[in-house]
Amino acid sequence: MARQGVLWRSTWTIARRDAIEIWRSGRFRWASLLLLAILGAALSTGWWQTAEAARSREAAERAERGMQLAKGAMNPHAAAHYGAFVFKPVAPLSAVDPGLSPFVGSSVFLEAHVQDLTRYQPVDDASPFRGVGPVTAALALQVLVPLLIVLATAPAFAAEREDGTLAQLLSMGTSRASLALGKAVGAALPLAAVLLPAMAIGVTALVWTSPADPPGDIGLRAALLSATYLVSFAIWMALGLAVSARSRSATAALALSFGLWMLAAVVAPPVALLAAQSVAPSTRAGESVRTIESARAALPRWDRRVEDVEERFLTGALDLTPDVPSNPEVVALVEAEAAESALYDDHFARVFAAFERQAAGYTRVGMVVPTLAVQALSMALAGTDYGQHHRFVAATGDYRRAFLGTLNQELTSYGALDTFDYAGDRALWARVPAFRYEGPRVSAVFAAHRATCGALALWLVLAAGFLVQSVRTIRVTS
Amino acid sequence: MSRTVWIVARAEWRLLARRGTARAAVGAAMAVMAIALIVGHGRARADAGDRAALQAWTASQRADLAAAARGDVSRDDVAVIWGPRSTELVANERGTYAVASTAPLAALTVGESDRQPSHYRITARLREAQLTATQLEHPLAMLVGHLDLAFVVVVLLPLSLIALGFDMTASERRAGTLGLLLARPVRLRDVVVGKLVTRSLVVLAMVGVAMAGALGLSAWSTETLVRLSWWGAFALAYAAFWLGLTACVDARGRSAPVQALTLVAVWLGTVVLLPGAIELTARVVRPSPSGPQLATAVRAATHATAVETGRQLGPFLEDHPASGVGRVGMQQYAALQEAREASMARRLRPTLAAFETQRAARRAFLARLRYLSPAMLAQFAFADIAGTSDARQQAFDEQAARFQQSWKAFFGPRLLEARPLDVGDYAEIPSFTFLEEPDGAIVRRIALPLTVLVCGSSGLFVLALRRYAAALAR
Repeated sequence: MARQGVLWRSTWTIARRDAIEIWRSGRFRWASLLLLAILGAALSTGWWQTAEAARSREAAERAERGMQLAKGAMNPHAAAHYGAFVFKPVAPLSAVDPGLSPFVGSSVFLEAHVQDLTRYQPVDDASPFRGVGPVTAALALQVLVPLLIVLATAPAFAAEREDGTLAQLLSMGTSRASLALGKAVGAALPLAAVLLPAMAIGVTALVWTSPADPPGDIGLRAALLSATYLVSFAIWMALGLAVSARSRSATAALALSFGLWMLAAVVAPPVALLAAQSVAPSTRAGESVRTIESARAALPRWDRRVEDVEERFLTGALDLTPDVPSNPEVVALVEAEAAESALYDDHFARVFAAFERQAAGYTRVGMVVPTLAVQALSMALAGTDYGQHHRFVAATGDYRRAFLGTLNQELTSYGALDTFDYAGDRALWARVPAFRYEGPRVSAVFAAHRATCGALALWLVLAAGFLVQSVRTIRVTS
Repeated sequence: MSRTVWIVARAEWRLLARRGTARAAVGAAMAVMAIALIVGHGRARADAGDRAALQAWTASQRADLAAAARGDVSRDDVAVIWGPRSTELVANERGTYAVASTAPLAALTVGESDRQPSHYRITARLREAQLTATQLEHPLAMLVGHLDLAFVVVVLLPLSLIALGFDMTASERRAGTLGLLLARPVRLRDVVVGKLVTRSLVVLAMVGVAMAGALGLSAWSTETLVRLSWWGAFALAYAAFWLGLTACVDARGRSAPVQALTLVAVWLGTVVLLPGAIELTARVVRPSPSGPQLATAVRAATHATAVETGRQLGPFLEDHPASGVGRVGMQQYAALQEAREASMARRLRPTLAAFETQRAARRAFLARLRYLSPAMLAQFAFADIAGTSDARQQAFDEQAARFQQSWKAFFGPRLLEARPLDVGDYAEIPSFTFLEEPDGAIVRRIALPLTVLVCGSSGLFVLALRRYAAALAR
């Protein structure tokens, strides 16, 4: 009992001394202030942008629905060409981590015969300067905080060894365990003093200001997001301390941990993308044009198509169930529509499959580099990763089929010879439901990223183990 | 230059060559540069191949249509409407593609090329609607960026230079060996200049090797050589800025770790935080135009036009000239289409103009503020020199727009009269050739940034030398 008491006391003594030392250093204070300023600025502009996007999306959606209903008398096929704009819901946590949302577009235009990737991509949001990435709260948490951590922890053991106080400390009977723990707590306390209030305020503000009907479980998402970041901070702290314990001097520790940070935060992302893209190359723009256009040119000409339907009608090859209209042009139209849809579906399936493989490859590299794992989890929880965008696009495809299906069915069931003179009205337009999309539940997101979570947990265990091992075998004198 | 400078420079060279950190810094930078070059070259070659294939395909499409038209003997109106001599088919259904060539130094700088369309589909219809094209790059690339030579030079090279220079004199001063050296008839200025000369030569060699590698990988042409020279010159000016900055910090005479930390902080500020702050400001002060708002405006225009034209003619004619319409029907259809497009263009113009103005204002804002961060200045200039900046894309947009007008001028009257194409017409169909920007345009664009950077770097060197002198006086 008494022994344990001594252990805790010495741990606390070390922790308190280290914490005070870090806290008092002007460099740490300036860096923290700067970090908080960046975090605050990024978060508030992120929040402002998110609110703005949500407002503009809602207005656009309402306007679109209004015009859909007010089309007046129009042939259902013309209505199919009139098309439908569908808009992507704004993920509330995109204020923290906009992820890919600035680069994937916010609306999709669905039309007969042709399909487009998300149109009017606001890629102008992509700054001409790429560097390490746009400054967002996510960047501050993924890149800047780890840097602050490694810089704060680098001298922990190495400086004491250089000053000779490490030998003193150990000669007084301080155990290695309390040394390791004390150093960790000592580094964690000042960082926590800076970060925890900031995170608490951020999370509260986000949950508080999120729309009344947030898609999914925003509170849970925010909590998991915070947990992810805390785990990543713990990993960096353990790594920084371990490097300090193993380095010859404080300078060497600084250089080494800065190098590690560089590799993980600056070099790894483009390298991971490069690796993912060389394994699964994207469809090239020109190639996709050639594929689509060649396939389109190979489709039967309109007059031939109509002739063909008439011929099949005459030879009895056409299945004449009551649903099938008597107008051959309508049959031809429905067939043409199906053939062209299939063509685009095929093509986009290939494009998206390559993107999926690239995203998966990128995430796989993330298993080895904790910053990438954290990035993946953060985007996933914020609802701004590729998987969730893909899910949205797939939902618009389903909606497109349902929307055109309703209109074509109306045409075919009309059945008269002059089908194209038929005009639908408001009652028909109201029968096509408005597009509704709900993002995945957090449990589904979590399930999709089990491996990444596991990798991050493994990283935590390994880093902690590395720290313990490094302190156990620490050299006492330089 | 005095002999001392050369003696110091040579001695410094031997020292650096033996120092592990220096070797590692230069070695790592060179290795990453080599990887970036090889990868970039592969990417550029694949892109060039893709564009060439699209161009070839476009040409072969036209040749096929012309051949089919020569073989087409039908006099029947319907066959002409749907066959290879159909103006509607050639002008709109098939249309053509305006393809830009790959930027001259795309292998060195991806720049903005990953979100710029490499081609536009051209038809005789509404221009505004035609100028949408999709670039099929993974959105992750916009977030994390590419590993190209520009990234290595802008982001990583400064760290190598910091590693080379953070301890130029600090340790020697602390150990007192510098004082010992200066007890001899040697000027501090010469010693410092000597050390800087060695480092400058190392940088010169690094950039030189990279440019030679780039030249070796790419197809030889005067244009490539000229552009590579500018690229290399800008890289050297950027490196000189970092060397000058390192010298300034070293002249303050703090301990080596403190100097290293200071320089890393400056690096973080210049490469990450300052561009980030500029971008954040731009996001608030000059926000990007809203996508949903544009969608609503486009919708309002299509809605009004659809309702309007819906009243004018049998609705199906809008989209499908049916098999029974005949030549008169086709004429009506073309007239309707023309009216519809004019109405759409009239309605869309103010919205699109506002959209473009807002975009341009944002770009201009960023372009002005780039002078605040040398990293941003360098990145923009590298893209300008490589031909992957927005400027070249705008030139392409304008060329494509002009080409669309000539396409429309050729087919428009034929469409309105529903006149089929004669075999002889095929030879006169306009075709697109992309004209590269003249070198002069690039020089004009980078002259000011280069001057600013060179002046800034020189200023830093002067400041550093003064500081060293002041440090000695203390």
